[in-house]
Amino acid sequence: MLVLVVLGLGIVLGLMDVINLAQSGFMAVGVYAALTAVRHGVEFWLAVLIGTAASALLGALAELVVIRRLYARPLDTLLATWGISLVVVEGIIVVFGHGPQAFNEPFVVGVPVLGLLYPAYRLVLVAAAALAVAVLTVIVRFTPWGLVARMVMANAPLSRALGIDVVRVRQLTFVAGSALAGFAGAVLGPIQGIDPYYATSLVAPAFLAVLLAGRSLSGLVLASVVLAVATTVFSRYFNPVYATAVTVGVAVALLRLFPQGLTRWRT
Amino acid sequence: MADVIARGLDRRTAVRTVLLAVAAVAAMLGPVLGDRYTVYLLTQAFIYAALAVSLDLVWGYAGILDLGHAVWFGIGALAVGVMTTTVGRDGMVVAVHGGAGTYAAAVLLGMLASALAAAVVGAYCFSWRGSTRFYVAIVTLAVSVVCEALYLEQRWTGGDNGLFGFQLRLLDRIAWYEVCLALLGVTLAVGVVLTRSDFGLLMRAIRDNEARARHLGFRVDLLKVAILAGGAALAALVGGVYGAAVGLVSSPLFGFLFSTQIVVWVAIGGRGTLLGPVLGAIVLEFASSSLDRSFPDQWQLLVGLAFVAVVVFIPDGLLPPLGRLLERLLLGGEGRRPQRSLVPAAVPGGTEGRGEVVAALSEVTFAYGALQVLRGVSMEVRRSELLCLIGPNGAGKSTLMALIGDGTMRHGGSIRFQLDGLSVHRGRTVDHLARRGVIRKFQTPSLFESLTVAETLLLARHRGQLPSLWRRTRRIEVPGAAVELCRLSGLDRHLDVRASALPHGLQQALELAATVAAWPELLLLDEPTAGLTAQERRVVGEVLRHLSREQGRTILLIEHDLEFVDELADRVVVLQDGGVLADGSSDEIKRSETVRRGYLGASTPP
Repeated sequence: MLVLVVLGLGIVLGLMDVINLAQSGFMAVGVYAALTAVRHGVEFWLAVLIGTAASALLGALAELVVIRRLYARPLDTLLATWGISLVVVEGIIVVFGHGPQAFNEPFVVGVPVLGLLYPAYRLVLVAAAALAVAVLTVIVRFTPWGLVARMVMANAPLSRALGIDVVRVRQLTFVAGSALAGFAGAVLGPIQGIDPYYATSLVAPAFLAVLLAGRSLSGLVLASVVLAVATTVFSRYFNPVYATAVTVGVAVALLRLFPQGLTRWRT
Repeated sequence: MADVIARGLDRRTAVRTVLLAVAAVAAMLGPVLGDRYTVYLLTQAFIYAALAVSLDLVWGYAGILDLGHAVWFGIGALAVGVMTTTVGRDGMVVAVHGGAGTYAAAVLLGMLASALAAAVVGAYCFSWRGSTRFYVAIVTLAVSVVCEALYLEQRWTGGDNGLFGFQLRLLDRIAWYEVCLALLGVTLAVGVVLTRSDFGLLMRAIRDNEARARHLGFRVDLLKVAILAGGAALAALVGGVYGAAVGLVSSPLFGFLFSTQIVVWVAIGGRGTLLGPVLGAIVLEFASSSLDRSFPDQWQLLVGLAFVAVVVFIPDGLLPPLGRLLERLLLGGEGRRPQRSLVPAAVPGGTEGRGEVVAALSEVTFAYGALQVLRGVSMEVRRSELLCLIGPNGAGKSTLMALIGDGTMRHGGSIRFQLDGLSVHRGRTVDHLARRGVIRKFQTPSLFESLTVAETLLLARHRGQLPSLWRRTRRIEVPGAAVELCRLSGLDRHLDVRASALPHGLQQALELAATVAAWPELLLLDEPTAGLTAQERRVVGEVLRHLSREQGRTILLIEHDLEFVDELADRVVVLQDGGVLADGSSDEIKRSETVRRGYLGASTPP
């Protein structure tokens, strides 16, 4: 599940070197847009698409107005994206109010898996995450777009000299990241409580996962799985709050041991 | 001219004093003029302003982005709460006790606990070589999130409800108003003294360029831990007073959102200024509390937008541009009085022991990954000589120099020093070697952007010694050779100009002067004359020759200009493909058949 949250962050950090603290904001936009659509009688999966599109649009706007001006000042990007998330959260409060919201549709139908009753929707989520990872891997590794994106990341001035529109590539990457956030936000909506601070609690673990992952998609998946499993395991022994605390601690420590990410050993 | 400047000074000081006096009187009159609610709001705003100053010292001045500053504040408030209340089984406060003494002790304890906690977090973040500015930001953010969550789970903290009702009742609300105003005054005074002191320069230096600070011998990691801990202690002091005044502590005081708010005050007001964060906190808090009632949500949205706009378009915050405008209006752009001056200092230096081996390299190898850069370099550097290192690009010159200046790079072979108090090389950090006199100048100028010429030289002169926390040195004693370099290069006419505003040639000269001011035993210079005119080169050459021949400094110099080498060098080492091709006097090198074939090219006249 964390995989979904992490993916958008991952491509933005990995391919742009931008730490995007606005990710939770984009997730919130995704879920609120989807919610509004569903309330107007739109089919759930179509609503998810609308949510995705809404945060992609917002991502494009944010990139145009803010991120684009800050490539030379990475630490300020962190602050600015943080500011964006504040704005988004407050904006949502203005429009929707403080209260918690929920999808009306029941998603709790159980399906037997290996003898255990497992909520069907969670299986769908796992499939969605796997699909997203697969699609992204293919795009980044095997298509010209992926190649160009990686080129810009590796050496922006040289790419510019080679005639690549660096600004456009970065814009598209950021929008893709935002879209993924919106998608993640929307599909996670039914199983999380929805309020304006939606996903803020997910940001810290997601970040650590991204930093742990380094710059590779496989690392991203590995890191999120490790963290998710850690949280679950710790939850058995401690209460959930301690489990989160311990997980964050573990991630911070791991990050120090593997500054390049889990899939690469320190040289 | 001089009297114009003097008048400018008088007016500047006068304007400043009048403005401050007006502000102070207005603030003290607050309770007389304002109603009950206004007084309450202002009291709170003063506390927040003091808190903003404590973050500003850490972030604005020393460049440590602390996204969990609320935690340090919360610890201060919690210490007071815990020591003055008794919590029942259900987590509710059942009794409040303690006199003024208990409160004072609690505040001190809170400061100590907070400083300790921050020191642990800082030590964890900074002791690690790969640590970036992001790392500390993310870790403090995580600490804030975790602390807020943990708070709710404890009984001794009051859990969900927090601890409450423990305000110190000796003082009434007017008295608390004055106390909080005084607290703000004290915090500001601490800030002013600290940032104007020599240590304040070091804080900015670390913010601007950590590597350079290390190369001048400063224990950057330790200093950053100390600065973070100091900021945390100050925040805890403010938190303690908050606790005693308001009598309430709960989980949000530790949380992510409150941490955010502090950052917003500082960013909008102006990081790296002291008044900016104060005004930011007071105005925003005051405005938000008054507007919150009529447009609660829209106001927060507006603050968020303002924050983003400031970060993107005016990263220095609102105060600096406003200050400049005010200065133009009130002072009419009169010049500033010269801030600092240089005077020659007596430094140890003589030519005793000339020719003794200072550094001995034996079979030194080094590789970047699979690329073998040095393949067994053996050479000696002798006291009081000017040794030039030449060779084609990629021969390993800069790598060799970097290796000599940093004992923590993993390499083969051995390097030994024979300097006062320094023999071992391996494992010694850059700052350790620098404190013992091994100082390096980089190929491209590496300076502290926001420090002036004089300030840079002042720090260099300290060579890793802790500068005074309160004194502000105006007459800077530097070695005569550094003064001479400044005079010859024209730097002495720009003593109060920021390093980032200097043209390239002067930046080169400044870094060189700074390394000389540090009075190194072994000076490592990587192309000190790159980008200089012929005239400037000659000046640099003369000073360097004087330094080595007359004053006993040992200089290892990388250079491409062979004419310059010929004029200057006592000895020349030619590197090629990571090995020593030749080693001898400059005449020997010119006559050497190997060198001519291998490096100079046959067409070069002998």
